[in-house]
Amino acid sequence: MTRIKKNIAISDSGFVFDPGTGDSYSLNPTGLEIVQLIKSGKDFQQVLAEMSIKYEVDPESFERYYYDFTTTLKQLRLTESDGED
Amino acid sequence: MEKIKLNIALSGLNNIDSPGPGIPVIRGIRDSTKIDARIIGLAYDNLEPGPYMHELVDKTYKVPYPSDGVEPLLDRIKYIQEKEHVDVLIPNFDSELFTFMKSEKVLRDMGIRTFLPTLQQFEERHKSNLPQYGEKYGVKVPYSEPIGSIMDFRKIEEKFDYPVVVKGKFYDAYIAYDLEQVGIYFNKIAAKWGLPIVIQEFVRGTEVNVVALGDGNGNTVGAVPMRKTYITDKGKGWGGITLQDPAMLDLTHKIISQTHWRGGMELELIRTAANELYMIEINPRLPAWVYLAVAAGQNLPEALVMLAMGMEVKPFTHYEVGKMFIRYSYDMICDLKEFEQLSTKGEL
Repeated sequence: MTRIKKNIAISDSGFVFDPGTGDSYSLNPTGLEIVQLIKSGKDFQQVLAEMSIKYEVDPESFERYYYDFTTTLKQLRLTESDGED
Repeated sequence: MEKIKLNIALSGLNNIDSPGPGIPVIRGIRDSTKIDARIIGLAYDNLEPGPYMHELVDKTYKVPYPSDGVEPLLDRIKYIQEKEHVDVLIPNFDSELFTFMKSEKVLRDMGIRTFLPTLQQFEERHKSNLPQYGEKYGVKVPYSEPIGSIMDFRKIEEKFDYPVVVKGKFYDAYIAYDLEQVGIYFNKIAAKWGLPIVIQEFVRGTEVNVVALGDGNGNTVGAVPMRKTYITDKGKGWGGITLQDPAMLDLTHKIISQTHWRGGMELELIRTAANELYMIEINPRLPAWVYLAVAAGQNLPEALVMLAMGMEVKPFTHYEVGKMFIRYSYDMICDLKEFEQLSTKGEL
């Protein structure tokens, strides 16, 4: 399961700050929503369920976008992995 | 609490594109809640901006370059002391530190206090001694060798993989991708800063820095890690941000406690992709970005002055993470009369 590192600061405006590297990023509203769901401890299935209620999205497309997004978070070293989704 | 009145002299007033630390150190002292300072600038050049920044510098004296010898410099300091009664002197250039360290006793006899590294501390952290330093104190450093000529490098070329870093003994560093470039940078740096030139293994990673202050008894009075977020073509940080990095702080504490470092210092480190820290340089003074540490909660220039005065200083325990600086240039308008006065009388 993907976890956002504890020290990463995420503001309500979607501004992400990594205090270890000094790097900062901007999330769009959808990205912010997903990151907040991950940060609250939800796994892929739970994120999918929440997003499906709010948005018209087919599970296959969402899965592809989700893993593409979390891979980017991982490349930016914003996440720590805790087993498989 | 009433502020202590002190006369503080310092150099490094060249607040230019490759800035000296003088002006940022003064800003820290001016922010002090404990010190009411009269600032006496020591300038090497008529066009250093500091002498004309009257809100920061109260009086400036031209001083001879350290390369002119110890005597002319001390004669000039003696003259300045008769007029200004300097309590603390903070030299801010690497190239003048040796002279001031050697003259510590003479200065003290004049009534001028300094807070500098010892000669041994200063000498052993030289770029040309870095491998031995790393071994002695258990710190990862890139492999390097000092050379006196290109022929010297040819003899040791097989010990290196390109690119290599070509460094001057005080300042300047260039990345060279082949022997021809080593030759070009060797001549460029040697003409400016003299020999030896240091050839250093190129360690790939992100440059990170720590500004710190050691009390001379092995204690770290303060330390703030930073990453440059904008680097000029001269390799100078034009922007930076404080970091939360326990490993960098541990390394700083380790170096200061082992060496009993006395005075300000800047650690230049490379963090590799494997998250290892390599020390590439120790600068034996506060760096030009020291005001970021002040803004983040550690007034290291103030603490340095207090240590020089023999006063008790409590170590700083925290700082604000994510504090940023953005350097800017500004066209200061100056009066020709002032330039004339500094040029002809050597005082402003």
